[in-house]
Order: sequence, then C-alpha cells, then structure tokens
Amino acid sequence: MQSGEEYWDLFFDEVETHLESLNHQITNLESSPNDVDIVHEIFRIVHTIKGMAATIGFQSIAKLCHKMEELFDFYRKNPRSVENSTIEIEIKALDSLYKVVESISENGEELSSCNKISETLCNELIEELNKLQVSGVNLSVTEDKNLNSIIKQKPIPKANQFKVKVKFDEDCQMPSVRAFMATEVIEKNGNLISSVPDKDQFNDVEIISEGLTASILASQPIENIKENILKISDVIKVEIEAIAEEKDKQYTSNVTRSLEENNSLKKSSPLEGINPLSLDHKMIIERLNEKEQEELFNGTLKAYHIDLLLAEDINNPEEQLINLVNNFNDYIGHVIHSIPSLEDLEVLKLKRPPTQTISSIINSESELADHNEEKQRRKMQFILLINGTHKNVLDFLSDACEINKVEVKEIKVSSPDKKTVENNTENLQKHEVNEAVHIAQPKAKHSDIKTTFVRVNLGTLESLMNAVGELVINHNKIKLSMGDSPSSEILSTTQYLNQVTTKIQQLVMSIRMVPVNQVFSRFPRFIRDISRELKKDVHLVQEGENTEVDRIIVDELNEIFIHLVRNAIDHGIETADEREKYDKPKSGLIKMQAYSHGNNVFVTISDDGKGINPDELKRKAIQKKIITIEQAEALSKDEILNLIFATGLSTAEHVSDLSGRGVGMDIVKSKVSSLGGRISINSILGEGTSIRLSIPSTISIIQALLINNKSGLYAIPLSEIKEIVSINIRQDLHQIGSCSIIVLHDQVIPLVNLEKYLQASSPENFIEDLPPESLVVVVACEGNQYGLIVDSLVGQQEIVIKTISNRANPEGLINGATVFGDGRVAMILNVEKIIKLYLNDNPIEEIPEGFLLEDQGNDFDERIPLLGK
Amino acid sequence: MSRKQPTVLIVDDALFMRTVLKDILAKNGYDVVAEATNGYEAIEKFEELKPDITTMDITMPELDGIEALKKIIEIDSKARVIMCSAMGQQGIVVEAIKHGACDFIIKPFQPSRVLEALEKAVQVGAEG
Repeated sequence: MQSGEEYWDLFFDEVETHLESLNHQITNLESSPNDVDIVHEIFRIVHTIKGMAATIGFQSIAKLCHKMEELFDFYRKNPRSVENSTIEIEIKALDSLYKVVESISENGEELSSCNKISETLCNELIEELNKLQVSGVNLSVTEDKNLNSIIKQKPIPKANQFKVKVKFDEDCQMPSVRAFMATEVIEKNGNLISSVPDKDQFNDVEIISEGLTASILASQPIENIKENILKISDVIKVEIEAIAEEKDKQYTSNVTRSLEENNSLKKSSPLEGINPLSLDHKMIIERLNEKEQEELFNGTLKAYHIDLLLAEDINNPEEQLINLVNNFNDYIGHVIHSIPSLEDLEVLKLKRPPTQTISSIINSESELADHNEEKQRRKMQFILLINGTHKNVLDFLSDACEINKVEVKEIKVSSPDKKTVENNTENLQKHEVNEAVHIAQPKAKHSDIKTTFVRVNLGTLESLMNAVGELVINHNKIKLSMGDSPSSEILSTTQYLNQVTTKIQQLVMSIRMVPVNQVFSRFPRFIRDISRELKKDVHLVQEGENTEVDRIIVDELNEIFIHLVRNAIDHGIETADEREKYDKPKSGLIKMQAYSHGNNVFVTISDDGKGINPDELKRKAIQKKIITIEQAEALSKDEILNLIFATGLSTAEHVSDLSGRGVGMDIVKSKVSSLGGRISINSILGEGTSIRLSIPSTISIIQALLINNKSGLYAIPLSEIKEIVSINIRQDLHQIGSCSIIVLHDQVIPLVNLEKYLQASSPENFIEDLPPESLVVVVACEGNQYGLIVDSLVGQQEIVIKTISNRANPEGLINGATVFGDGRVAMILNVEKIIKLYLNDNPIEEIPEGFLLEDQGNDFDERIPLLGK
Repeated sequence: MSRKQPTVLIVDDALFMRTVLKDILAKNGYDVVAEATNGYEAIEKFEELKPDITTMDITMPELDGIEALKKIIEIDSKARVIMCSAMGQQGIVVEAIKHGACDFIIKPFQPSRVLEALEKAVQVGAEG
C-alpha cells in the first residue's frame, strides 16, 4: 500500500527515533557481542522500521531492513557471539538507511539512487549471512518430520471419514498459515488423520497450487466443519468427499501402502497441473532492478516458472541445485526466487549426507522416510528471468543436470499498476519534514484513551510560551491595579490566579525540556568511528544523561559536543604506545558529564590525554600576533589556557602541531555564548584536559536582577552575577592607569561604567559623578571579575525573555527584553559583550605588571576537576 | 449502518503503524477505543475496555504480542485477537493461532484485507 503523504511527517519523525536507538544498540552490541537481549532489541527495531517502510511504500528502506533483520534473526536463532564483521556490515547498513531516509525526506520521493544504495547493502548483508550459515554454526538438526507423519498414521475407525479439499486464494498471504488454520478447525471438530501436504511441511507454493487435502475423522457434522473452514480468510473453496471403504484400507494397511498412497497423491506435486509459483506479479517486480523491470515489461526478458525434479541417482542433489542456480545467474539469466532458496540449500547440503541408492528394498519405517526425504531433496521450484524462449530454458536445463522431470511455464507479467508508477516516478512534489509533527486528534471519542506521548509542533509550543508570558504580565497588572485594600474575594482570586499561572508556566517549561541524552546517545557511535579513524583506543563514560535542557538548546549542543569530543580524541588522547610509555592505561578515557544547577546546565567534557602545553600555546599566540611577548609574560596560567578560545589562534593545517587542541575553539565559544552560556577550560600537562560548559537550561525564562540606571531599567541574568557590594568611593576606589578598580576578597576588580556603553553621551570621567556610596554588581567573565556600577537595585525576578530586533541593538549589548505587569520594559544586558567593549577601551597592556597575576579565581565556584583527580 | 460500531483496541509499538491502521478502521465504521504500545499496556487496556476486537502487533518491546495474546485469552477465552505480522513471521503466526488468535493480517496493510479480517472477526463474535 502506498499511503498518502499525510503520513510522511509521522513516518520520518518516528523512523528517526528508531534509527537513533538502533544506532545506540548496535554500538552497545559491539561492546557486548554476547548479549542476546541486544540482538533481540535490534531485531525488533529493524523489524518495526521495515513494517513502517513497507506500509508507506518505501521499498528501498523495507528491503534493506529486511536483510538487516535476517542477519540478526540468524543470531536470534543461533545464540552466539555476534561477529565483528556482522557489526561492521550492520553499521554500514545503518548508515545507508540514514542516507536513504534523508534522501527521501529531502527529495520527496524515493530516487533510484536509494534503491541502488539499498541493493548494494542487501547484497553485502546476504553475503554475510551466507558466510555465517556456511561456517557451519547453523546446523541445528531438525527432526525428521516425515517419520513423524508416518507414525501418526495409526489405524483408525472407518465411520465419519472424509476427504476435505481446501483451496486458497492465489493472492493469499502466508498460505501455509492459512492451511494450518484449516487443520486447526479440523482438529477442533474431529481428528486429522493425514494431509497432503503434510501438516508439518506446509510450503506456500504447494498450498497455493495444490491446496490442502486432508483426510479427517469428523466428530461434528461435516457441514459445520466446512462452514468453519470457509470462515478462514483467503479460503475460496472447500470440497468434501466421503472416503470409500476401499480407500480406508490404504490408511489402515501397512506403512508401505500408505507411503504409496501418499506418493500417488503427491505425484501431482510438483510436476503435474501446477500453477506458477505463488509469487504474485508485484512480488516478482519487486525483486527486479529497474532495467530488468523495463525489459520485462517490453518483452525483452521473459519470466519462467520452472518446476524441477532431479534424476534419482544423483549423489549431491543440493549441490546440483546450487550449481544450477548459479549457472543460470552467471550465464543466461537471473533466478529471482527459488524454493528452497539458495541459502537453505547451502545449509541442507552441509546437514545431509550424500544420497544412498534407493533401489534397496523398502522394509522399515526409517527407510521409508528416507525415501520420501530423498525425493524432496531433488525437488526445486524457481522463477527464472531470461532473454530466451521456452526451448532455450529446457535445453539449458538438460545440459546442466540430469533431470527426472521438469516443467517450464512462462509467467506473463503486466506492467505495474498505475498507482505504483505515480508514486515512484511522477511524484515530484517537494516534501519538507517539519521539526515536529502534528497529529490529527484521535477520532475516537472514548474518554479513557491515554496516549503516552503527543508530539507537538515546536512553533505551537513557542506561541503557548508567549501566551503564558502575556498571562503573567496581565496577572501582574491586575495586582498593581488592585490598590492597597482589595476585597478579600479579589485577593483570594488573584492569589489563586497566581498559583495557576505559575503552574501553567512550569508545565510549559517542562514540556520544552528534553533529556540531554538525546545528544549524548549519539556519542558512543561517534567516538567509535572517530577513534577508529584516528586509530586510537578510546572509551566513553557518560554521566547525568537525564539532565534536562530546553529543546531548542539540545540541538545546538550536539554540534558543540562533536567539536569538543573530536578535539579531545584528535589532540588530547595519545596513541596506545605513547600512553604505555607514560604509564597510562592503554585505552584513553573521554568523560561526558552533565548536571543541572539553578537555571544552568553544566556539561563537562574531559579526557585523560596529554593536556595542553601552556608554553606552546603562548608561543603560538605570539606567533599569530594575538598577544605580544610582553603581554604573554604577564598572563596567568588560566589566562593562557583561555587563549585557546581566541579567534585566529589555530588554523586547520597546524592544529596537530599544537600540544593540545584548537580547531575552531573560537567557534565553539561563540556558539556557547549565543546560547547565553559560558565555556571554560582546565588542563594539566600530561594528565588531561577538561572543558566545562555552563548553559542556561532554558532560554525563555530566567532569573534576573533588575537594576535602575539613568538610561533606564535593565535586567542582568542572575547566572552572571557573583555578588553585589556597596562601596565607598573615597576609600575603596583605586586608580590604575585609566582603570578604576576595587579590591574585593584580595582580587582586583575593574569597574565598568555601564552608562558609557548603554548611552552614547555618558561623561568620560564617570567616577566624579558617583555618589559617595555606590552599588557595584560583580559579574564574572572569562575567569575574571568585573564590577558594574549601577544607580539602584529594583529586585530579583523571574523574567520572560522576548527577543528584540538586531537593528535596535546593533552592537549586541542587549540580549532581549522583558515586559512587566505595569507595562514597563527592561532590557536584558549581554554582560559578556559589555566587558569585551570595556577591554577594548582598556587594553591589557595598560594594566601594569602584576595587576592580573594574582589568583583571579575561576568562573565557577569550584575549580573544574580533572579526570582522576 | 445500523449495527453498533464494533470497538477495537490497536496494539503496535510504532505510532505510524497505529495511525495507519486507525485511519483504515475509523473510515470504515469501527470505533478505535484505545491504543497500546506494548504487551503490558495491551493487557491493561483489554481488561479495562473489553474491546470487541484487538489487533496485536507481534514484535514489541517490554512484552511481545504472543505473550500478550496468551494473557488476553486467559482473561477472556472468547477474545478476538487479530495478529499483525510482517512477511517471514509464519512460524510465529502459527504459534499465535495455536494460542487462540482468530486471524492475522500482514504488513504492509492492505485496507481490503484488514477490513475482511475485522469483518470476519465481528461475525464470529456475533455467533459465539
């Protein structure tokens, strides 16, 4: 079925989730190849994707999944350690799946390239499966079913015996299951004496062509049985025939006779009066590549159904059949389907001894069984695609092997139904995959329905957030307009309103939050690939995967982490030999930790590699003219490390020469800043490097300090603020060069004139205008602290951030705005930007030696721990 | 249609498959009363809602369709459960039939086959 495009969004969204977990599980499997649960889980996921893809009509995905599944099915049935080669090929297949899914979702159709990718991989997967099967591990011995069937034929009473013939629809799916259902009905209403084909040996082809013929002993009126069998789907005809006295004898007589009877019934199969193999036309077409399809439709190629019974005295029938198929494939055509399949034959060949001559007298049950089985071994049905006539096929067959009987029938294949054509080739309509998917409301009215997840469009969530913001503002308005003595009723109502508003706000926030694991989960695989590429032995430890961050942020984090992890492996972790030399464990360690604190999420990415050599970093920075030699001398260790974030420090071609890392750390930093976060680094030469990110867990609502200045009301994110102090201008203020500073907790803190940056016309010498007692908000930036002088504090409050146009804010000093209940607007300060401007005006060289050399403390309360410390 | 809409419980771990199936059923006079995403949920919903028909995916996390089927038949031996299978799961389908599934449908779903199976299941229920 080709479902309409209304399901596309849903499909792609869900498939992506499945692919992620597949990725995760395959990587898991690699580290524990003996884990049966993982194999089952992978099988299940692939199976699910297959079903979905087949339903929506993406054959390239469905086929590929089918082959991936088969391979894992092998391991499911033969519990053993999963081969490395299998994992390799499955990973390759997974990557191709990603590609195909992406291609379809981008192009809005399944391009032929998808089929090619899929086909290539399918072949590799088949090869792998064959390899595994041939390696002999699959040889679980199946019980001899023929023997069972003969033993079952015990003497039985003659009354109420019938022969029931059941015919099935040609389009029937899983005919043998349908036949089984028929035998179930019979056994519920009587006894099944025997059946052709035998109940344990139903095969789809035979059931379709021959139907099911059962000898039964009815305990219910036979009409009831007939009716019940007719109720089974795909049963088109049921014929009842009373078994004559004479025939009964055949069942009650000795086993030899019964075998003869059996054979005489079976003789029709497969060589007489057969219908073509049950593959319907669509299935045939599905198995062909595009060129073959075309040639089949225009008549260049013909499809034949071949039913073959090899001569009796052949020693290795399986081998003969395999050779036959291979010869066909190599020289004259394409065998698109066979029963038994090549794979099955390979297995059977190994399992079974060469045939004995059967001319010996049949005198025991087991030999009878052998006889039956031997005949089965020489049978094969297949569909051959060939540019040739009926006669060509017969000639080739008789040349290729010794044949007892053969039947060749041409299958007329009409071109595929229009719908498929439309969908495959003419559907050029562009299709975009939304970030999230809308689902139509369930049509059922039942109030009991609980769906575990509802997917919501991110845009809708955004509007909801805005609406909640308005609600908060208006709630505050009401509160303000109530005056000093509201009635108790209004008071309690507004209080309740407040509670509800807060609740809604929290809920909306929580909807936006997703576990950081969404990003973390990609890294086991990523690290696996990178470490192979760089030939380093690395293992990964992740902690705090459940830490939640805003959905918008989580996507951004991925890119940042990839950069950092790649750097860590590329430049941090040493090769195994080097590590051994330094007495380090052979395998390098990458640790990704996340935890949340207040409004922030902290993520540390650390390695136990060689660390960063500050001297080299300094040399590099001087060489790149980022700092002068004099400046370099004055830098503290932290400051030197921070140079790594400087723009232009590293260019790609020299990265590896650098002692640590450097690829685009400036890019990482600006990315982090754009999220309102901060980044810091700690590294010890020879022991490792640790990079810590602090990112606001949401970028919509933050805790902020509101301040009043001459130019207006401002909000400073609380996460930026270290402390607030009141200073005495006369006593506490010091002047170093052009900088005014204060000393706080033995640290030098430069004072920044906010007004100068916020309002163009601020006086240069602002110190003179300050009241004797002034307020200083101490903020942290890049490991240093700075003091912002403010006129007055308004208070601490949760604010809803609204973005403002860049045109109104060309220098980026403002991160956004927030609106209060009374209609006032406050600008949210971008502290980092302001400090940068300040440092431009007061370059480091003006700061005398020793000024910054004191311990500046760190960005964070505690120092960043290094691994193993 | 004068008859009461038959109620259906859809069990499948893929939202996509559930949606497709639900659309087919809803358009043809069935009342999809609930959906379950794994075997445990299926049993729970079945007990709670006693649907006329349950469509049961086979491969699911937590508890697979066969196990859920067994439990459901244990709860109500007359329960009509239709297995949703993919190609190549013959063995499992046979197993399901042995354990009391009344029919099976095969992915990719063809609406006509799905409806035929459902219709038959409804009839069986009307008689039994």
